[in-house]
Amino acid sequence: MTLHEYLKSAQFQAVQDEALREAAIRAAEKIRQNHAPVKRHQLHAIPSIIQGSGLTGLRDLAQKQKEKNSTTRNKEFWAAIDDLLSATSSSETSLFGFLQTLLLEQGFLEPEASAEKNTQKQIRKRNKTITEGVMDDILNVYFEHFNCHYFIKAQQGGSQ
Amino acid sequence: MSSFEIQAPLLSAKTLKSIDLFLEDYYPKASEAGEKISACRMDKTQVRGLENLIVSATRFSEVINYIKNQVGKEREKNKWKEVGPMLLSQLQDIEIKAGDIAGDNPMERLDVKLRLLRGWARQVVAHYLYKDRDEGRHA
Repeated sequence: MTLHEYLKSAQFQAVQDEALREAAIRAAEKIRQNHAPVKRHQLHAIPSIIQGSGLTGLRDLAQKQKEKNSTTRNKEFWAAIDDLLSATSSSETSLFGFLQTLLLEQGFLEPEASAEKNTQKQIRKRNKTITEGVMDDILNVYFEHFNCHYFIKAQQGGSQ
Repeated sequence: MSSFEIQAPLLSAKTLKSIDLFLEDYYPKASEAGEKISACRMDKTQVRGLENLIVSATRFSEVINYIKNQVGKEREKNKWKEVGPMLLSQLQDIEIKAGDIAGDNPMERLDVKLRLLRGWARQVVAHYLYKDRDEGRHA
């Protein structure tokens, strides 16, 4: 099965329905736990930017928002979103990390550790490109899970 | 329309029977949900909206997310707050049961989940309409 076929398969749809939802819920819970809650409109910006300009757009937005002269809670929230999307994040709730693990298990990425030292960097670059391509595809669903869980938690824990 | 090409597996007669048996057993709980939706005077259009989503959903989580989103809305007298936790808890029961019925096959599990979901929704909505009529709201 090619990567393209896998992304169109019911098997991947099941991943989006279960494993991706669990990953998004974990991330939303962690952000809610570690940072002060933000207003709903901060999250409302996410689906429209994904629709318009995908991963690049969302990364740009997160970068801008975290550097913007805004409230600390907003800055922290966007820094956490930026970290979720980052290829260099070491967080256990990183979306990039989740996808890399999945794609490696499915055989769509080359194992980096077992490769020769001089080719490791090239493999890492290829893997990053593949992972980011898949991330672009699933971003909408991921943030549907993330936002809805964040909203209900905000209601249960006192909204801002 | 989803861009996914769903290759839903053909479910065995045994699996289909397990789905029916669960829905039969679950009927009292589904009725309870319908009754609660009626008791909080949820508008019929809201219930029909949920039902339509369930019929057209290609992912089980679309429905979970819809309910979470409704519960999470900041508005006065949000009736979803009253019924949302119960509906989400029942959906969790359904998801667990789908895992028992379908096992590790993700495609079969998704298909079973959606069938259970649609059966459950028929029960909930039917009971809601029945109770609402009883109360004279949709006479």
